[in-house]
Amino acid sequence: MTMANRVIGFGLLILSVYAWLIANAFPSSNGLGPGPDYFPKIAASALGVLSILLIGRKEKQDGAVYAVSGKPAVLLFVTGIIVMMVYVLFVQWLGFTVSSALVTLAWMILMGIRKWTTLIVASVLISAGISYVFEFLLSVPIPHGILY
Amino acid sequence: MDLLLQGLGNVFQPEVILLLIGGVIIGIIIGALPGLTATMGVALFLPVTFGMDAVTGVLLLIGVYFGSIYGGSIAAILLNTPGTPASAATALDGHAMTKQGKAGKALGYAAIASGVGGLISVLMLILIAPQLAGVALNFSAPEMFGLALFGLSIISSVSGGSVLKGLIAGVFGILISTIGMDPMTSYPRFTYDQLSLLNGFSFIPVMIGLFAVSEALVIMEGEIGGGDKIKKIIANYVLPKWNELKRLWFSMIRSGFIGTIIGIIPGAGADIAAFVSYNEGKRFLKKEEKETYGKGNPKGIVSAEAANNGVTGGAMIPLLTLGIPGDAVAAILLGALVVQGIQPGPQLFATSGELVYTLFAGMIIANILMVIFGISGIRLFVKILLVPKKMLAPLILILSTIGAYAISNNIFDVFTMLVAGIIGYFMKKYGFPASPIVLALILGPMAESEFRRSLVMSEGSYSIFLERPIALGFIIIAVLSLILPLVWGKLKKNKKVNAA
Repeated sequence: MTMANRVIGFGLLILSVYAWLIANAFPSSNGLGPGPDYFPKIAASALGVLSILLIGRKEKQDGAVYAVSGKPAVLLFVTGIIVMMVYVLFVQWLGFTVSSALVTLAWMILMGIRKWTTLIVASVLISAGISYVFEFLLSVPIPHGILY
Repeated sequence: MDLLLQGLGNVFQPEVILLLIGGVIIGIIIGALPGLTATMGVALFLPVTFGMDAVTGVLLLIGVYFGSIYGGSIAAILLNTPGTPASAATALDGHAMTKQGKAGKALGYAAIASGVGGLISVLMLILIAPQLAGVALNFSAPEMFGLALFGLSIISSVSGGSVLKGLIAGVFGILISTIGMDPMTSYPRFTYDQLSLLNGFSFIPVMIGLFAVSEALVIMEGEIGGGDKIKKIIANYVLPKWNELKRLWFSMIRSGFIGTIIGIIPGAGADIAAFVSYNEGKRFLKKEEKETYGKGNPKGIVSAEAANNGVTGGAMIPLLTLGIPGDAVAAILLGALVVQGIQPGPQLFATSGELVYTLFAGMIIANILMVIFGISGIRLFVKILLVPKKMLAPLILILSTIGAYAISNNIFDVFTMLVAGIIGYFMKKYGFPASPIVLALILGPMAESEFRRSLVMSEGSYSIFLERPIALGFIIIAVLSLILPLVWGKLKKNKKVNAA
């Protein structure tokens, strides 16, 4: 965990310096009291100090950080994250119902379900059921695309 | 009293009571599923309320909230796997009773104690909230700044795990909250000429990402990594008898008060309340009873459960009276009210008295419903534990997506949810609490605008914060709450070194 703290702390330190420099270009005063730059600079400075403290912190980790280990499992998990990102990026073009069925199908396959009847029935029922409940029963808008 | 009776009348409208029942049942189901927290459940159901009127929508969420805090005890008692962090203390005696063949009694104690704790907290809410709101009506910019600062500091320092990581999460949240137009001059900050960034990040998609999407990723990771085998549940469902309950009332009432008081403190949630009350419960035991504590003593169950449900009403006190959410669930309820055009705060009692008392009445009924369904549905809720997580993970993801989109029919909110979900996943893995980020998104802009408004009031003089006793009091407590955990940690470390 100490190494992870250092990497995270270093990343946050860079972010805080960047945020401070950007904020420094904001107007500094509107006549009475501080201007738009004040709070972002305070927050960036505090984040910088706390990041340095995190870099210097030693912390023991009980057990493994991740539940997946080994290249095939990690690959499956990363694929799952990519599938999620593609889903979110394309949901407005493909439409909520169809893209939700596809992401459900993909995630269930990645998690090890191999029975096709289960895969198809579960993914269609989950996405169609949620779409119906939200759009028709609750009148909550859902994104519609070329495939509904 | 008249307002409360009027509120009860509103709650017993068929549509409202049916949704409240639905909310409690859904809450129990969500709470029963290990890993799914009350916060996540309420966040997922927020979009469902968008098409409803304010009272109905908020009562549905309150039903989900109350039900899920109790629901967590089902998995804790039967499987020794707390459904929510708040029921970890319940597992100690609850699962021991299951092993002794008394699962039904343990679940019955948990349901009744949850109801008693919840009712005490709602009664305290009804008594305290109008008085506190009356005091808060006199607050102006310096006091509100002090209050926001107090909320921010205490939330970051007590939200669990490492104080340093809590503070980092809080400050990171404040930095994110400065994205968008400056509240005083409308100067665009960190917007990079993007129109969608002008209004900054809405906290609801951030919250859905941090609490729900991150959980979907954790479930997926767990299932790819092998997953937990569903344990066979062997239990008998004989419920507790009246004379067995008689000796537990004192523990329940004491724990209900402990939970309520802890609930009022921003950041200190149901898990902290349950453990504090559980430890307090031990102090009140006779010597021979102490030996059975942690090994299947009903007083252990009721101490934890009455306290974690006691938090529910306590957390509503700062939310309704000051407009300050005490925890992540209160933040979502704040969002639900704001979406409906209602701004919680001291004015709420003056302008929307009927609405407030309808909420109070709904909370009383929700607690009673929780006991009724908690006891009568034990056998059914046990089946929930068998739901395959492989289907739960995508279900959470798509509910989160529709939830983020429905807030303003804007795909940018869905992208925000995605990024927050990935950040939230890594925060979970490396021990950073998520609540401070969400609460900083609400309290950060409030602190900034009230701070600068105060300086306009004082014509630029910082002494305004020293001249106003309430504001100064909040600022001192805020500074102390930041310093004390660090000093305390250092002292403990030195003590350990000296002892070694």
